[in-house]
Parts: sequence; C-alpha cells; structure tokens
Amino acid sequence: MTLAPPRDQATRLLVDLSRGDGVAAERLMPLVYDELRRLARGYLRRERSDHTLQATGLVHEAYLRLVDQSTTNWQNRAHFLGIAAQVMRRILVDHARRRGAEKRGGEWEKLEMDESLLPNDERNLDLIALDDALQDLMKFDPRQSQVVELRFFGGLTNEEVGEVLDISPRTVKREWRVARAWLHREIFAGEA
Amino acid sequence: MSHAAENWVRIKSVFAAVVDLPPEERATILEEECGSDEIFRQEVESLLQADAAANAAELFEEPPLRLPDDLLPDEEADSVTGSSVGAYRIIEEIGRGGLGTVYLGERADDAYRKEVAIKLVRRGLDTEDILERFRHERQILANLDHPYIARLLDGGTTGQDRPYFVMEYVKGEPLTLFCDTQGLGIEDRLNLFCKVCEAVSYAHRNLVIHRDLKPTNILVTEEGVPKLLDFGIAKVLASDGETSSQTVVTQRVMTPDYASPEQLYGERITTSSDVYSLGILLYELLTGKRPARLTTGRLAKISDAFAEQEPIRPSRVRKSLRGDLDNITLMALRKEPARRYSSVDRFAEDIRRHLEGLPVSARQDTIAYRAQKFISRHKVGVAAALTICLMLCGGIAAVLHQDQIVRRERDRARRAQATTARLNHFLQGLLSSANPDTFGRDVKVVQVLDAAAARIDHELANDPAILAQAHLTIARAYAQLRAAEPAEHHARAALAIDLKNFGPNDPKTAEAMAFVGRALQVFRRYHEAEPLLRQALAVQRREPSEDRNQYARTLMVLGTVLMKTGRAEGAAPLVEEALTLARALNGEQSVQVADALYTRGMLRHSLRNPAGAIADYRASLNIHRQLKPRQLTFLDPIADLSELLMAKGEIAEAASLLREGQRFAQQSIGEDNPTYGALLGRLALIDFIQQRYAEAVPKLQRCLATVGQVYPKENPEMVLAKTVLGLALTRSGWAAEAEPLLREALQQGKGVSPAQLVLIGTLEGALGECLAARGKLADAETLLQVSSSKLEASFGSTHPKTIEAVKRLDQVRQARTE
Repeated sequence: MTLAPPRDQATRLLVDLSRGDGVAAERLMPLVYDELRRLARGYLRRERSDHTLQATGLVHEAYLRLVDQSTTNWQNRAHFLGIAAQVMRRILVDHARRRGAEKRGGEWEKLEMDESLLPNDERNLDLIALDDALQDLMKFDPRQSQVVELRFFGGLTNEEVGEVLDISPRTVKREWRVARAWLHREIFAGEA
Repeated sequence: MSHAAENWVRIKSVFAAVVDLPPEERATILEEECGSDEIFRQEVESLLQADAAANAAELFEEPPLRLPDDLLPDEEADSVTGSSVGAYRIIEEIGRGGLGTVYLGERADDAYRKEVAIKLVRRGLDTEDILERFRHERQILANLDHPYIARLLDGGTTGQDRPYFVMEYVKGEPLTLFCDTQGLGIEDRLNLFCKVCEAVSYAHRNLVIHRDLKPTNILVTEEGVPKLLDFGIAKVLASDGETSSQTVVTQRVMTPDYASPEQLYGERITTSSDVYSLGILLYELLTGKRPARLTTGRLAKISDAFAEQEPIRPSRVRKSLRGDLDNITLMALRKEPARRYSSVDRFAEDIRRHLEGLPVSARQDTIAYRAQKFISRHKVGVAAALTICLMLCGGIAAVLHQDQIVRRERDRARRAQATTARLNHFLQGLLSSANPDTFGRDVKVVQVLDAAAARIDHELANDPAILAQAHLTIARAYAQLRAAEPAEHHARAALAIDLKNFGPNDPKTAEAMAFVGRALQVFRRYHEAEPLLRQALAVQRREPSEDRNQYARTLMVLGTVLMKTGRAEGAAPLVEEALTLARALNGEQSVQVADALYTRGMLRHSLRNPAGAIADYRASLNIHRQLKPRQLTFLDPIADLSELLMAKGEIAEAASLLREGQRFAQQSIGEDNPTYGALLGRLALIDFIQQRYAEAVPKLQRCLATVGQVYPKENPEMVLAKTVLGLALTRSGWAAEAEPLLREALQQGKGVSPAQLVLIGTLEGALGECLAARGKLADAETLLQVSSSKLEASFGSTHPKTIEAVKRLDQVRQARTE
C-alpha cells in the first residue's frame, strides 16, 4: 500500500473525523506532530528575532500547510485546531520533562525560578507543573481544562477556542479567567 | 481534588460575578453569595487573590508561548553555567529576553562578593544585526549613571565571541506588582511613577530612548526605589551618525502591549514613544488595566486594532480618576506623537501639579478635533453606526440607490448632482456637530441624526428645494432605524415644503407623499397611509414618464396597506399590476420583479394561501440568487419564508435558509450590521426552540450588540432578544450572568406585548426561572406568580405556556417548603 502525501492524508482524516470516525483523530496526531516539529525547526533555523511571535502562529501555520481548505469547512478547521493544540501541549511538556531529566542527570540543580528576579518578561512558567495541574483540572472541569490547552498551548484566540468547543467567546474568556486563577493557585501553592 | 462538581460551578459563577468589581462591591456581593459558608468564601477569595497574582505576573499572558530555543536537540548545548565571563562566574540562568539570556553571577576572583546580572547574547541569534544592537546597548548603558537605572558594570566578548555585559543585579518586583502587593494608593503610585519619569527623562537628556518600557523592565526594590532595566532596544539619538541611520526602521523588537502606534507601524521613533509607553504604564497603575487589551499575537492584527481603538477614559474604569488624571493619561496616549506631551518632564510636571492641586496643562481634545475623528471613523466604517452614517456621509445618492430610483436620478443627472453635492456638504457639516463630547463615546446613529435634524430647518431655510430633500433623506434614515415618529415628521416636512413650492401634482411632491405613506405603512399606521398613497399614485399614474418603477413601488406599498387591513382582495389587482409592470419594465431577472414577487407572497400569505406564498417567496429568492450584484432585499423573503417554514415545522429548511441569508449579509453588509444581527437572532430562536441553549448565546450576543447600535434599549425586539439570551444563559448554567440581563429586560419591557413574548412566556417568568436557578426562591416565587397570572389572562389556562408556568411555580413553591 502506498501512502498518500501527508496533506492528502490529513485532509481526508479530518473529513472522516467530522463524520464521526473517532480513530481518525489518533491517526491524525502523528501527522500533526511531525508537521509542528518540522515547522518549529524551520523557525529556529531562520534565526528570527521576533521570537515572541513564533509559537502562537505555529498551530495555524500547520493547518494551512497540512489541510486542503477547498475541501474542508470550518468544523474541520475547529477539529484540527483542537488536535493541534493537544499535540503542541504534548511536544512542549515532553520537551520540558526531557530537559529536566537531562539537567538532573548532568548534575544540574533544578533552576529555582523567582519571578521577581526576572529582569525581563520571559515566561518562566513551569510547564510540567502546569501540565500536572491541568490533568487535575480535567477531572472536575474538563471543558475548562480544554480551554487552557487551546488558548495557552495552541495559541488560539477566544473566538477560535469557542469554535472548537462550540461555546461563546465570552464563555471562553470567563472560563480562562477562572482557570488561570485556579492554576496559578495550584502551581504556586506553598511558594508564597 | 475534593471539589464537588456542583460546588465548583457555584464557585465559578460567584468568581465571574465579582472578579471585575471594585473591592467594596466585591465584599457586598461575596457577603450576599456566601453567607455564613466560610469555606466557600475562602475558596472564592483565594481564587480572586490568585487572579490578581496571575494578572501581575503575566505568566499566562498572550502570546502564551515562546518557542524554547532548545525545543529540538541543540548540537552545541549551552553549557555556560559554571564558566567564567570576564571577571565574573556564571551561577545560574535567571531569565531570557529578546536579545539574550540573563544569568546570576558573581565575581570570579572572590575579591569581594557581589551579585551581578550577566547578559549574554543568545546562541543562534548572534547575527550581525543583533550583535550590532548588542554592542550598541552596551555602549549606551555605560554612559548612563542614574540611581533609578540599573548600572552597567562591565562588558566584553567571551572566548567564543559572544558579547556579554554585566550589570547591577536588581532584586525587586515589577512596577505594577509592587504597587499591588504594597497596596499603594493613587498618590503613592503617582509619586513612584514620577521617579520612573525622572529616570527616563535622564536617559532622554543623554540621547537615549528606552523603547521597551513595561512593568517587567521597571523593578522596584524593597526600599521602594525603581530601577529601569534592559535598554536592549534603545537607540542613541542623532549623536553618532552610524547608529541613527541604522535604527530608524529596525526590526520591530518591542512588547506590543506597551508599544506606541509609531512603533507598531515601524515608523520613526522619538522620545515621544517613551511618553506613550509611560502613558500606558500610568493607565495601568491607575486602573489596573491596560487601555487596549490585545487578544492576538499577530502583529498585523495588533496594528489594526490599535489604529482604530481610542483608549477608554481611565475614569470609566475608576470613577475617582475623572478630571486631571483622565486628561493627563489621555494626553500621553494620543496616537499622534506631536500631540502628546512634548517631553517626559512635561508629563511628570503635570502629575506633580496635580498632586499639589495646581492646574495642569493637559486638556481634553478640542471639540473640532474629536468631531473630525468621529467622522473619519465613521467614514472608514469602523464605528458601530456604519450603515446609516455612510448613507449620510455618502450623500443621498446612496439612499436613492437603495430605493432603486437611481435610474431616474441618472435621467436628471445634472440638476440632481448639484443638489446632491450641496446636500452632501450640508449633511457632513451636520455630522461634525455630532461629536463625542456631546454624546459620549457610545453615540448612536439615531442621536447623530437627531442633532442633524434639529438644525436643518434653521440652516437651510432659504433653500426650500434642498431643505425638502434633506428632510426626505433624514426621514429615510430614521425609517431605516425604525424610528417611526421622526421618520414621519421629516417626510411630512418635506411634503409640506414640496406642496407649497411645487403644488400637489408635481412628481417631487408625489415622491414625498409616497414616502410618507411608506413610512406609515412600515409603522403599521395603514389608515393614515392609504389616502396619501392613493394621491401619490394618482400623480404618478398621470406622469408615468418620470419613472414607472416609482409608480410600481407605490402600487406595491398601497397593496401592502390593503392586505394588512383585511382587504387582501382589493390589494390583489394592485399587486398584480405592479408585478406585470415590473416584468415589462425590467425583465424577469430584476430586483423589481423579485421585490414584486415578494409582495405578492405577502399578499397570498394574507389570503391564507401559504403554499402560494411559499412559492412566491421561493421565486423571489431564485431571482435574487441570480442577480449580480445581489440586492439587499434578498433578505426580505428570507425573513418571511423562514417564518412560514418554521410555522410548518420545517425548521431544518428554515435554518438553512437563514444561514444562506447570514452568509450573504456577512459578505454584503458585514457582521456589524443590525440586519445581520437580526438574522442571527432568528437563528438563535431556532437554537432556543431546539434547546441548544449554549449555541443560542453567542448569536444573541451578536444580535444585541449590532441591533443595539440602532434600536433603543426599550425596543420590544431588543427586550425580547435580551430575555431569550437571559433564558439561554440560565439554561446553560450561567444564571448569575443572566440575572442582570433579565432584570434589565423586565425594567425595559413595558412596551412589549404578550403575543411577542409567547415563545418565552413572560419577562417576569424568565427572571423568575433565573432566580430559581440561583436559589433565590422567595423572589422567584413572586415573579413566577405574576407570570402565570399574566399568561392565563392573555392566553387562557390551557395554553401550553400557561401550563408550563404554573408547573414551574409549583416546583419553586415545593422547593421552598422543603
């Protein structure tokens, strides 16, 4: 059996997915995973100085490259963005774990991040702690956990998150606000 | 995780209800909501604290992610920790910025222990451009010596040719966080801010612009001393020719939230850009918010948002800021650099004068300036009032076009052009009187129109022909806004003038007369409309050469009047004549025929021939679908046909039709247009009927936002939409959000008839249901009691709505006794 190019595969899988084929999502993930990493590598090679803008656009760019828009609709797009955000989370969290492990193995002490010391606005959020907290949140408020995944890891706008979850942007905003507070409390509990 | 799901839902709703309130109001509501449940209250309060901390720390801010530069295995792993840089040893990484990584370090020779911050250019970014900028930064900092600026101690290049510099290690909190954690009042905040200005001003005097001022670049030490960090993108003013040419249009390295418009647009940056960023800082220090919340990380979009957004006055966020502080902040935040404070010193000076109670130099924008901004905003179509203002600004040509009488205009082009131009000029003048100072920022088109209308009699008194046209134009605008009385008033004024000048048998008089009739028809005052329409028709019939389509339109309107007054049989020949005429004049594939078919559809509907009506509506739609460009009246048969289909229970087809209309409206008139919103409202009703409450919510919000631009709050349809929204929110678990909406609706709902509400019961019932969901059972019972009595009186005790209401009332009563 010959494999179709990733773009055709991804597009077909998306269409299958919207027809209720649950397995399609799982088969789509590795494609998205590869594409996101490929894009990321490209960005890093290009030595762009507008560093801050990279990750936000990644998920969207993956969509543009991987999906044939002429045969798909907004629901397909919403599905894709949802999956891509999930994959993005996995990539980033896995990476953070790997880096943590390397550091421990190499006699490095875990970096103590005191945000008040930071001389610039780099986001030093502990992704592993965030991921753990999100998993907890998932248990009693799955929708809110998804909002965080989509907005934070996927870089989606409130409107897009609303599309993926089929809720209003206003609800997204509200869920995000509560989630943010809850996560902040969870992650920094005991550090104050 | 011990949260019971129910408890969590309650926590969320209380949190959402109070999070944006000032402390006192927060306390009141918390008191109300939590009562004696201390654990619940603590839970909400700890979340509120966490929210404040999350705000200050900006950990979750957008853009949410930076790509870790070692996301992929880095061949040349960064192993600087422990190594030496000049006389210093790197201890650990403490942060990363756009240009490099910052490490905590100490002197390697241990001559004396001193902690420093070492900034090292990031690997992979050491292109020539960045290196140049970095060397530059090093040079600038070395020249600056000020107690509020982090000192540069050393600098050089590492063994691998990576530039670094060593600077004073500052232990402190970002400015905004410091003010919040210390609980500083306005005066203390202002004093601290003045110190920051002092440092920036010092840098400016040394020809250095910071260009990236933001809270995290201004740390405040425990002693309350601010320290400015990271002159990473500063540029030396003209002092040395080499840098000035190169940095004017450098890449945009800055933090969009605090960047000035000229930075966002990549234009020339001056000390004024720092004034702007300081303005944002001041705004944030005073109100706790930044003036324009940017919700996307994409630069192009941010630029767009910025260009169109005027900052909200700080006093709208916090009332106590009205006056000087409002003016001072807004003066720093003006879009055009030349209109801001001329220097940071002047800015700080004004703040000091305010603190001492002296008059300040900042003034509100002049009326003329703001009026001009107002018009240009409307012209480019940003503002809410889009359609109608375009109509007025664009002159009457647009109006005439809408009425499909542009053809006639062409016939008498020369004469009309002169009139149009003069009228156009006049209306624009009128609009400039409608400035935001008079109306506030939420000016509605109808208010602009009122202001215009109030002046035309006076200003055009000596030019009756134009005055009549102006009246008619304004009447049409009012008619579009469904403001019945003023529309009629101005149409009548036009008619009176035309009658006096041209007599009853002139086509111009007939046009005004027909319009008065049409206005009256739209507003359902059929008996007054009829004689006028008949008289107009008599004139237009006698002078068919002028424009036969005009005549056909009057036939249709009169036909509509007859069918709406129970004389559908009498209307039939008129409508048929109009249809025949439209076909003869324009051919089948024309908007005139499409409109005539739509009218006949209405006729057949009132003749109790729904099948015939549906056929006509479909025929009308099919013509519309072929027309290029498609006409706005396409939306008329969609509205009526979808209603018929819904009555037949063919909801799926109604929905697909409405979505077709929605797509067209989206492309043609845009999502800000009230007509678009009205379509969404219909779609939302379908969602509501099918109990997809969560889906109805965003549509209704859009509907209210758009229709609210033109309708007063008390408009029955507005009240209805608001009530449906409140119910949809309640039923999707957001009763707390719904309550204020439903209370408002109840207050405004006096003009709403029971029949309009039959889908949702009554306003009292809606609020009652919401309050019941919130556990406020006593109030809920009272309201539901009123509701079921009202329903019984209007529809009888066997009506399903009455039965439903009684059932709900019983439930609440039962719950109260339990």
